Amino acid sequence: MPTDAVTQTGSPPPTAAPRVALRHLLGLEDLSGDQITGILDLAAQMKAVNARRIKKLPTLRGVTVLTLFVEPSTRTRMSFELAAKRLSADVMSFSAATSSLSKGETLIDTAKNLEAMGPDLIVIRHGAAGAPRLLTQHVGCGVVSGGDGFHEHPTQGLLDAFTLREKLGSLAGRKIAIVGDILHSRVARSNIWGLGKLGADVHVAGPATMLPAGIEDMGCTAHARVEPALEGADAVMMLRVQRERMDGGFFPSAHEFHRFFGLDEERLKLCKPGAPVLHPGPMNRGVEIAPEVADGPQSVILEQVENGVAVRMAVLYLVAATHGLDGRVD
Amino acid sequence: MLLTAAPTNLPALLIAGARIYDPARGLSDPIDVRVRQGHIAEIGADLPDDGCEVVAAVGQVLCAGFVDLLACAREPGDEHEEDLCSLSDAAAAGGYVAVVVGPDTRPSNDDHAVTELILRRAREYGRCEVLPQGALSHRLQGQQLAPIGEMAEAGAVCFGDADRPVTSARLMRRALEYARSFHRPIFSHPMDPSLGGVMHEGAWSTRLGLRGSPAAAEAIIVARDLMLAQLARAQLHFIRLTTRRSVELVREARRHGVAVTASVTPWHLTYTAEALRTYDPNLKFSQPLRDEADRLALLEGLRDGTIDAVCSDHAPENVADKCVEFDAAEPGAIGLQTVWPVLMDRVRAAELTLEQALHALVEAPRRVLSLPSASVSVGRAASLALLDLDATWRLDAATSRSRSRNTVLWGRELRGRAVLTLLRGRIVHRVLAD
Repeated sequence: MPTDAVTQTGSPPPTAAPRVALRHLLGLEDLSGDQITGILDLAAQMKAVNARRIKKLPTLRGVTVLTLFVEPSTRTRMSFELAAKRLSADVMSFSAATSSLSKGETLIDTAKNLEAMGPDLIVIRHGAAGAPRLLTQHVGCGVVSGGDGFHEHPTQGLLDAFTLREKLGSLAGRKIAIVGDILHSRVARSNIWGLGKLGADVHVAGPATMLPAGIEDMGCTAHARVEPALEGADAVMMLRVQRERMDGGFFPSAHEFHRFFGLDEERLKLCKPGAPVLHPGPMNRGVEIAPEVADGPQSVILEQVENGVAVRMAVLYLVAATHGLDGRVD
Repeated sequence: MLLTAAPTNLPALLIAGARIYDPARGLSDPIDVRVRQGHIAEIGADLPDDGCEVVAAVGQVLCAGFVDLLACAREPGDEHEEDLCSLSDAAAAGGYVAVVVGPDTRPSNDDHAVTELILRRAREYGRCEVLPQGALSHRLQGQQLAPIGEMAEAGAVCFGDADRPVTSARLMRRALEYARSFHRPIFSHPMDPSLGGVMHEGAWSTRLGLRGSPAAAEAIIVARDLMLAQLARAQLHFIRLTTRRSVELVREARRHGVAVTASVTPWHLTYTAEALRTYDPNLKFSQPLRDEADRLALLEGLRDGTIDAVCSDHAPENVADKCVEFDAAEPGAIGLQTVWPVLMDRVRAAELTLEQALHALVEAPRRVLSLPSASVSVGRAASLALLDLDATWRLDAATSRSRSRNTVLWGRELRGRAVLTLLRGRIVHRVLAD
């Protein structure tokens, strides 16, 4: 492996990681444990690149990545764009605050118009579940989901698995607690699939109003109180709870949510000593997570953000490579 | 290669060798039926052709044409999706001789003038009998009772607010009571919108990340409307039941003498929520696809008579309204031409008998609407369907008569087909083999 990325031209990824064929990335449900491991291994090498003085690989030179964000997001989008740039891809961005739900141009028309400009990969974030899949039926290029409705957020699931693997080593048999608004969380769903495929013992917990029907069929144990999920857990992942859910009658007040379902220092003691605390952000301090925990020694929240770039580099690389776009020098 | 012939006027036909389905007598042995001057002139073995065109029908079933309890005509208002002519053609091609058309047009059918317009347009075209359903409430808004008497006088056969929920129990009660004065049933689309979602709530909605509507959202309104029908001593019909609990509630109410009938769509007898794993908007329905236990309970209800009829729930939608995110897609699918092959699939899967399938399309809907029984006998008007049980074909641009193509079955091979439909002796649909 060359020590300086600048000397590397048109060559495969940093080292010979097991190559994972990834035509699109729509969800972790579709991947095997081996594929996920392959992606995480490659992400580890990408993370090493990010630690260099010159944080750039020429691998996707001449490849154009379009980020199509039809739902407000800054951090996921910036993470993807940074990942693309670190691989030397060109990036163009399209964002709309609204979708075809509001009777403007349809998603398909938007995508076809943008496709006519010749992107090689599309990263889509959309408020409607299934929108990335719909896109694959109408465009020719590779599609990576940046989150769709309550369905999946596969790169978040991968970066969480990556972070946990760094902290815990193998995830086989590890008890991981996912706590908060499971019902409205695509992060929870991707993590249930992803961690489950890596052999973890996944427990989800939240008020019963936020535990979706049949969640256990996805391969996890559900609890209507947080304590049994935290008991002896190797790690805990808190989910963002949106204040607007109060209006839907899912919980009576932020105060009450914190009191019964939030992660404070007392509750954290139920987990194994030193268990890492994750949160996909953005956090509501004092609602789902106490500030002392968010900023405490067990918090790995900022490492998640850093790892997100590496994981997205791996994903963009693999999807591009599957389409024969890697190492393009012309 | 199959072609559909242009209609001719009142031909003399000898339909030779089909089995006749008569609700009172079931399926006959193969026999010949002569149709002349719009009526059934003769039924017997080995009839001479006597100058009639002979239709070879060995292996096929001849019955009174199907009656549909709910289709959307989209006329007036959205004729680019369907109009009464294309709807009539699609119905005839599906073996139907009469179709109830829903009130959810633009303007809605909440006034006798609209009822009369629909009937006049349909009669001018004359390829299928169109039976308007009048709105239950003004503008389908669930607030003020629509002029049910005047619409009944103009020809509306039943009343309901299409797929808009009647949230007020008081309005539903008044509608049931008032419609009783005009001997018309109320068609209820049972759904509590405050528990609404875009698919059935369960393991699949969780997995797909789509908002679910629990089975209870339907059963709650079924229970309410059954109690109101009992209170009002009125005739109630549930259109498109989908849950096991609803079937149980109807079964129990029948035992207590409530005048309730019910129908189900072929979709709910065939598919479950799992079919949505591809997010196909053509499988999005206002009463969603449910679980396997529900599907089996609907079949059981149909077999034991708790559910009377199968309705097409034909709902033409523009491609633009379907080629969008699942959340944004309009619910519904076209269905008039595929009801028969889809039900035949249930017969082939031994989930229904052939007689049960025929009863649900021929006799049961007539009883719901208090129409004369569907017997096939000499002297009756020849409004008939000749059904092939196994013919393979595809619904595509060449064969579809609808203006819309929103169905999961588009382009797929189907088994079973109406090969000839007669409306009072006129050929309104015919498949010719060449």
